[in-house]
Order: sequence, then structure tokens, then C-alpha cells
Amino acid sequence: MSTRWYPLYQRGNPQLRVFLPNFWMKVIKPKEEIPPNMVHFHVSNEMTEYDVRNYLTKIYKLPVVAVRVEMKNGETVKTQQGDIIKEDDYKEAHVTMEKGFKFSFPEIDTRPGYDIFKKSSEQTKKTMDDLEKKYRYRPGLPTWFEQ
Amino acid sequence: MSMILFRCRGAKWIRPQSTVCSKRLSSVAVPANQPQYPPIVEETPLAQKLRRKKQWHDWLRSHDTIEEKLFELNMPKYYGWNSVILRDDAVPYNFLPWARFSTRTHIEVSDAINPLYSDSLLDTKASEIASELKSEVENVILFEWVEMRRRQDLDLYKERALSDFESSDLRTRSFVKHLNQVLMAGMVDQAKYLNMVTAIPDPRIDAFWFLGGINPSKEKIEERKRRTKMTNINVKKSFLDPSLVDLPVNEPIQFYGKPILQLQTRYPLPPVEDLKENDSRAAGVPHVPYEPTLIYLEKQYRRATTVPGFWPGEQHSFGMMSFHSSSFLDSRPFGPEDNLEAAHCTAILTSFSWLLGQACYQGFSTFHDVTYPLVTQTAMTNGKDWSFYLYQLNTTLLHTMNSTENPRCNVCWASNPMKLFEDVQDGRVIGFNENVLKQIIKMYLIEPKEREGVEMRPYLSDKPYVADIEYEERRDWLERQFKHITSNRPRKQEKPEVYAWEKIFRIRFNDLPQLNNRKWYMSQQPPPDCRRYDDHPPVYKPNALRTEEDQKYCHRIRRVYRMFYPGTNKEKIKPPGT
Repeated sequence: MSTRWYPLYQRGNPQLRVFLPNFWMKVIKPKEEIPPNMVHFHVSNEMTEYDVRNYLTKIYKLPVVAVRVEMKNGETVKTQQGDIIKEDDYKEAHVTMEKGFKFSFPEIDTRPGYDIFKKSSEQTKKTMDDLEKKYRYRPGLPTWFEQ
Repeated sequence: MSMILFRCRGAKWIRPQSTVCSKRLSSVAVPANQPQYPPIVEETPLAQKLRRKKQWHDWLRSHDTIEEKLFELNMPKYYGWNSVILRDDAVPYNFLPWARFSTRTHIEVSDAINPLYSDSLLDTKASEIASELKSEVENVILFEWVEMRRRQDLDLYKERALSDFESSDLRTRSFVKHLNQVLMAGMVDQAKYLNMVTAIPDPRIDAFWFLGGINPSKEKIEERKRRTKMTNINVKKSFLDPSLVDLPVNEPIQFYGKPILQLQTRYPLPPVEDLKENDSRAAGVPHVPYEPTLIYLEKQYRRATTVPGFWPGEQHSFGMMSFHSSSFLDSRPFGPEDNLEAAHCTAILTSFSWLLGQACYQGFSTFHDVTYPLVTQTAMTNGKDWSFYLYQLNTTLLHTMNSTENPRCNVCWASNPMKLFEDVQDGRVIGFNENVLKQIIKMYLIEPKEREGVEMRPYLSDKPYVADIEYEERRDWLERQFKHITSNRPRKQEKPEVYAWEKIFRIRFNDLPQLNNRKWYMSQQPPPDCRRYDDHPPVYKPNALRTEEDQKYCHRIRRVYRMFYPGTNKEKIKPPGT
């Protein structure tokens, strides 16, 4: 990654070339069902349709047929202080590959370790409940007192 | 005026009704041994919903005239349907499965197209005519490619040079019209019925239909989820059962086409094969359930217009043949293999749309299936390359479950592109292919015949046009409104816009309670998309325009213009005291 900004091309400017620009692409899980030869990406905001096409064909040798990029608004959220703020905008790329190409987003564990955490917390809760049930009508009884 | 004032039917206040039955159910005493039960109907939420839809379909079917039926399709939407726009000169990549799905078409590709054209009698007759007309057709080619100088070629108009696609399209269009003239003049002795054929250059082909079985979009699912929580009696009409949230949606589809030329006749072409109620080929039609905007199709708010190149009342209302330009294929970047499929797509969509328009003008619709098949022939050409299609319309039902479960399917017989000639050099045509000319002539030689023993217009009355209506005010009103709808003008007052700040501060976080202007989204009113076409206040009739007859009526009637929406106000109001 270079420290140099990839400059926005203005008409009439000389074509600037940057070695190792700040380009990145991330495969995302589509929100709706899409054809198997389509892939959705999040890309860096400076990338144009040509950049996305070149990125995939030159580096990964993928059979790209058509690309469409779209700027999306960031989510508006309310902070704990009660201010409404907007998160950063992002760019989405919808890429169509050749007919025979098939891609389905792999099933990834989005919260690794969550199952174990949930299991242990349930166990703890159950123990606490049992204890509470046991001592409900015996307030102040020491725990070492066996019946 | 920030408040949008309109009364929406869904928001009408309903008086709470008593659960105690106070009325006598029947005025006739029913004997105990012959009890009358209401019909047993399925009471699942889906069945109820389909029944509600069917009510509208039956209402549409009950209209007397063609124009009213086409008008009725527009009635649910004040601002028009948010429909998928299809055009005949723009085809996305890998479109054939969707084109087949959206028209429920089975396609067979072979060089002989169909056994219909292999008939020996037809073959000899066509080859005779082809050898006669060959030199004339060569002259036409030379004229269009060499001698013709169009205004765009002259120096005067050099300011805006035409692109290759545009100039090739222009040449194709003028060539096909010229060719048609030569063929008609040369063949009319052998085929007398060509005297009775109407050739229409550059017709307008619009078609509108509903396509079911499509995945609901994310916004649609959210909207449906909101509707499951409604318990207020005021908006009870839009309440949705939670089990219906993920149900596939109906997508309104609007096709716009511009063929080069179409030939119309008084009688339809004879059917290629009989109508099969259970067609095994229907199972082979692909199901492409993706949301149309995801596969590069655009959506726009449009009126539902169906125009097969002529208006209701045209005597020659059946199609024989149409020619389409395929020049747009050269501008596609997807390679020759996909271009071949794109030509098939355009042929399927244009043939289906034209036949659907013809069927609609016979009283059928996208909700009421045809009772006999309709046939058309289509040629796609850029002047040199020709591909031919024969299309039989067996069904127009594509809405709701019909898109996947309809036992009937339409059939398209297609050919691969053939070259009429290779090139033009030194004032001579090189590599002229007589077989292509023969194929075009064969298509002209298939004679349209009257269908005997078939009721052509089962869903229309004896007076099937608005022009036949005797009540003058109603006739004029319907004619004016129908033309206005087909002209596709937007509403004068635009649909209320929701600004970004409103979306953030008023809808998402209700942060500005101090602002006093109320909008539709703050009340429990349904959104403007739900507003019906006739949901508007009555139009005031100025005193000067009221006739003497008007003065006889009470002020409520005489002060406003009467509305004649489809199927309503068929009779004149009798003046009081008559």
C-alpha cells in the first residue's frame, strides 16, 4: 500500500499512475438472492467500474462480464448522548461473471465462540436459579448448612 | 400546502359493527328439510388473498368494451405501476432464461424453423417467385447500400455525425420497407389476399402484463412485516397475515417495442399446432426468481399501456408478420454467442408482446387466458443477416402461481442467422443467398384464414368499442381518458417526496415533535402508492358550463362533472319528477 492518495481524474489532466494504490475489495454476503454468476463486493470509495474490472481480471484472472458500482449511504444511528450521527458512506460493486461461473457465499461463523459463551452463561443462570429456588423460604441461612 | 389532502379508500373510517346479527338473513322462509348452506370455501390467508384478487379479475372481465378493460388495469394506481421496463433494443447479458420465464416460452432452434415451411407446394411456389424477384431484390440492395444518399451523409448535416449503429439502423429500416414494397408488388398476382394486408411502418408496440413467482425485495419484505402488526380498524384492509410475508410477488412488466414494419390482416394465421391443455414442454421453462433490479433491469412508474400498433376498432387486427432491426446487437460487448441469444430474446419478447396486444383487443387479458392460439411470424435483420421466428401464443396467464404452474406454454420456433448477401462491391451484390429470400417469401405465402366454429370474442359484449356507447357524455369521457392514459403523461402534481432530512429526523428517529406540519407517513394513512386512480375529489363544473338540463338536478349532481370509470355510471341519471 502506498502512502499516496489515488487522485481523482479530472478531464484534461494527464493520466496519473500510482504504484500499489489504496485499493481493496471485500466479498459480501448479498442481502437478497442473486444469480450464481453474480458476486457482490464492498470496494474502496475511489474505485471506478474500470478499476473493479481490472482488479479482478488482472490479479485474480476472473471472467468478468459486467460491473456496476453504487455509492451507498452510511447508516444513521443515535449515540448514547442522544446525537444523531451518520456512519461513513461505502461503495458496493455488483459483478457479473461468465455464464458457467458459480459462486455462493460460504457459511461463515459471524460470532466465533458465541456458542460456547452462550452455553456457559445458560449453565451459570441455571445454577443461580436453582440456588434461589432452594433458599427462597430460608432467608439468611448460611450456605454451609446442609439439610 | 404541506398536508396532502386526499381520501384514500384504505383509510376510510369504518363504523364498528355489532357482532349480534340483527337482520333477517333471508326474506323467504326456508323449510327445515331443505337447508341452504353458503358455499364452502377455503379459509387460509392465502386462499382469502387470492379470492380478493379474483374479485378484481372478475370485475375486469365483466366490462363491455376493450378500452374499459385496458383502463381497468390502471385503476389500482394513481401514479402508475412501478413496472419493469423492457425495450426491444437493449438486452442484458445472459437474458434468454429470463425472457423465456417472463413469457413462458419454449424455444426450438433449427435451420428448417418448422415443418410448416417444408411443404412441397409452398416450396415450389416460393422458389418460382424467388427466381423471378431475385434481380429486383438485388437492385433494392444496390439502391440502399450504394446509390441512396441520406441527409445525414450530406455535408450540411455533418455537425452531428451518426454512430455506426445509428446509420446501420437507418439503412436497415429503409431497406426492409423497400423490400416489402417489391415483394408485395411481385407476389400479389400469385397470392390475392396480399391485397387485403395492411403494412404499417414504424408501429408502436406496447404490452403490459403481470409476472408472478419473483422474490420479494428487501423493502417489500420490510413493508409486509410492518403490515402484519397493524391492528387498527382504520387500516384493517392492509393487514397481512404473517404467513404471507415471504410469498413471491407479482411484477408488473411494461414492454416498449418499435418494429420496422408489420403486416396486419383481417383474419388470424392458422394455428401451427392445436392448443394443448397439458403441455409437457411447460415443465422445461426456466424459473428465474431474482428481483429484476438485481439483474440489470430498470423499474419506472408507468401507466399500463397495451397498443399492438393500432387502436381498438381497427378492421385488420391480426398480425401476419413483423420485421425487427437487429443492428443493436453489434454494439453489445458480450460476444457473438450471447448476441445470438439476445436476438432470440428480442424475438420472443416482441412476438409475445404483439400477440398479447392482439389478444387483449379480442377481449382477453393477462388475467383471462386465450381460448384459441394466435400465431405470428417475426424476422430479425440488420439488412445482411436474417433470422426467422414463428411464435404461437397459447397462454397469457403469467401472474401469481401461473408463472411456474401454468400447464400451457407458448412456443417459439427459431432459426439461426443466415446471410442474405455477403457484400456490395463495384456496383454488384456478392454472394446473394436465394434461400433467405425464399424463406421471406414463404412467410408471405402463409395465408390467414377465418377460424370457423371458434368464438373469437368470448369476453366482450356485442358493442366491443367505446365508440359504440350511446350515452354521449360517457363515450366522450372514456375516449378522452383512455387516450390520456396511453399517452403516459405523468400527474400534474407529483408524488409527495420524502426528503432525506425527513427520513432521518422524522421517520427513523422521531426527533422533531415540535414541527407542526403533518405528512402522510406520520398518520396511519396508507402510502401514496396505494392511492387509486379514481381517488380524487369531484371536478367542479362552472356555472357557465351547466346546461339547462343540468339545472333540473340537485346541487350535488349539477355542480360536478360526472365520472365514468370502467364499468360505472352506465345509465343517465333521470331528472327528478320523470
